[in-house]
Amino acid sequence: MFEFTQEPMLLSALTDMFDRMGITWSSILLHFVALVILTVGLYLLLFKPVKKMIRERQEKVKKIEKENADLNEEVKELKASSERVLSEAKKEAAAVHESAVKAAGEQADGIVGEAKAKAKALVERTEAEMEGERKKLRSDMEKQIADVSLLVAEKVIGRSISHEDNKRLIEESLKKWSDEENG
Amino acid sequence: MIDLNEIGKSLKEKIARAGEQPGHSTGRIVYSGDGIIKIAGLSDVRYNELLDVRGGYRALALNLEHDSVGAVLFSGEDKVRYGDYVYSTGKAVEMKVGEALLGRVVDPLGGPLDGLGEPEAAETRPVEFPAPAIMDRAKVDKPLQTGILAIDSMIPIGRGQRELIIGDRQTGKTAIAVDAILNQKGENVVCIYVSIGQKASSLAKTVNVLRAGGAMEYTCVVCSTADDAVPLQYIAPYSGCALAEYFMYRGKDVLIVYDDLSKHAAAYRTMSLLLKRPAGREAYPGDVFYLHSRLLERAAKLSAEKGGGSITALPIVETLAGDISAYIPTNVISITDGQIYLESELFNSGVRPAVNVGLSVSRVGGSAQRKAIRQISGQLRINLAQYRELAIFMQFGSDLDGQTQKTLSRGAKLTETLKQKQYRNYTVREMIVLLTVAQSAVIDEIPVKKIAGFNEGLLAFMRADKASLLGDIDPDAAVSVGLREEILAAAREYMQYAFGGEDADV
Amino acid sequence: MAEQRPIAKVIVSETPDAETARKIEAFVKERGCGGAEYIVDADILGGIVISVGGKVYDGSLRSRLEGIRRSF
Repeated sequence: MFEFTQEPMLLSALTDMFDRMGITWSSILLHFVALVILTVGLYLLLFKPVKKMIRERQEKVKKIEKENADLNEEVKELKASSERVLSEAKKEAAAVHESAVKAAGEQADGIVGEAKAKAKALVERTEAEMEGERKKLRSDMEKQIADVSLLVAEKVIGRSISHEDNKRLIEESLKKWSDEENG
Repeated sequence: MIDLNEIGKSLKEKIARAGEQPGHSTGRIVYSGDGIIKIAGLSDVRYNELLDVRGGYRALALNLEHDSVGAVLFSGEDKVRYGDYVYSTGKAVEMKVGEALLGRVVDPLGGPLDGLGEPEAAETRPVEFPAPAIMDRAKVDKPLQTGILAIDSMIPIGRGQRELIIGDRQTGKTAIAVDAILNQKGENVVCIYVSIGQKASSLAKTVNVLRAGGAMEYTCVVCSTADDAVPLQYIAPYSGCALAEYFMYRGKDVLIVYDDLSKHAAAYRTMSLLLKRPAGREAYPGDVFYLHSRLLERAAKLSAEKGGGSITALPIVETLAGDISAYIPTNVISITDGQIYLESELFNSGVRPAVNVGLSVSRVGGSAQRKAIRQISGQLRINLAQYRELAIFMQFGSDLDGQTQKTLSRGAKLTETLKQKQYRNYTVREMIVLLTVAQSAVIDEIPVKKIAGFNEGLLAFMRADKASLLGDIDPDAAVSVGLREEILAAAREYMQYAFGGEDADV
Repeated sequence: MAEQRPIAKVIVSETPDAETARKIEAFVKERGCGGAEYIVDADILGGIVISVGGKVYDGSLRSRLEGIRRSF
């Protein structure tokens, strides 16, 4: 920093230096004016648009940020809904599974029941068959006995019937028929 | 196990009672051959009377002549001898009847064939019995569901109807009848399956199917196999019918299957020729028409005053090479109220049941059809007829416009829908679903080859996930537009599962 | 006239004596027959079977036995 006391000296030195360089105060002034004009011009022509551009970019960034946030929100929502769907699906799956198990159980019960019924029917049928066999055997035996006794009766009657018996038989028959027809 | 004392006791009782035997008339065999006997004497015997032949054999008096009686033996044709005594019984042939016969396999006289002992039936009914009078009959108004889509939708059978099942051998005639019996589970219908002159092996198969399907609980099998005496084959359908009448006159609905009447006619022809009756067309005796008409006339729907029972008869007749103009087929067609005509060509090309819809008719069943089914299946016959007509043209390879192509593809899919696996019966509601879908735009999006799988899957899906919708269907009311939309929506939903998002190529 | 009337067939187990034969003759004549032709058949065991025209009178032990058999 220059000291104040030295200022006139500094000024004169400057003037001196300007003189030697051929620069006059007026030209300096003129340059200054030119600079001012340049600055104002530049400000108007360059700075403003750039500023505007920057503002716009800022806005754009903001918008993108907002969009991002929205998207995030959406993603969250989607996630939530998908979770919901998933849980519902799980619930449904459980229900389906349950009903399937129930149906399978019913079917199994049915099959087992049927098998049991079949087994029972088989046992019953076999028992009935055995009973039938017994009955058949019995009736066969009865028939055999009857046949044999009849044969025996034939033989006995054939041999033992006397002339008188036969005569009586014949006369009885004749009388019976006559009575039947007359009565 | 077996109480001998008891046998002795019961025998003694019988002997004690035996003394009071009323005197029957007596005759002697003057000819015996081929199961036919001629008897001298027996002047007071009546037509169709049961005769006792010495040795405990049975015979049926069929020819009453000036000085002799012609009869057929039920058994012991190689045992009876010339000169044996024959006694009249004063009784017609009778069949044991009663609830005890259900679940049993019996011969035409009610004797057991399933090794289960004598059926404990208290009552008997004469095998020959007059058909219900006109005044005792009512209109056929209740359907008999066979569970077969093609039949229930287009050839409906009513309770009290006589519907002939006719076709060549190996066309699934018995299968339809068996399916119909299986479908009566829980319907409160008594079923009687009469087998006439069938192979014992195929009969055993049928009985096993019925037993496995739980159908024997309400079914009686009356059978005469191919090795039974001809007279047994001859009376088998009448015995079955006597049993059916027992239930009918008690107000029950009965389904009786005669499998099959061509063998019955053949058995009657054998008997008639041996009895030296004059032979007519195809060597059948003159009364072969009456043989079947008197049998099938006994199937009827009784009026409410008579208890409202019914006998639905499904006679089966076998044709040779599809010839329905032979003697027996024409006879039975004219007696019955319609016929289900099965074709071996259809059978072999995979259409099973091989019902020829064009030639099959039901003359009275339509009025008995459930309302919803009648509504949906109204267009079915026409659509199918159109399809068949066009299908013939298609063979010429001509260019087809869009409408024709649609008719063709719909027809093919309809035919595919009508195919049904054996023993896989549909309920009425399932039928409504299938028919609704098959006649809608939904079906256009499914390729023909996938129809069968789609239908099967759709029904399973409906049963599992849409049970309430299935329950909402009322077979006795018209299908509303809303209900139709719901059914179609369910079908679309299932299509999503079945074929995923991909568009199934038509 | 008597010769043109039919002959009844009488089946017996043994030839009847004169008294029984007379009764049989009377029985068949009552029913419009000219006479009786006897056939001996031990198989009927005892008693008598008479065929007159289309009618058969059966009074044999055989038929009684068969009756018992039938009732079993």
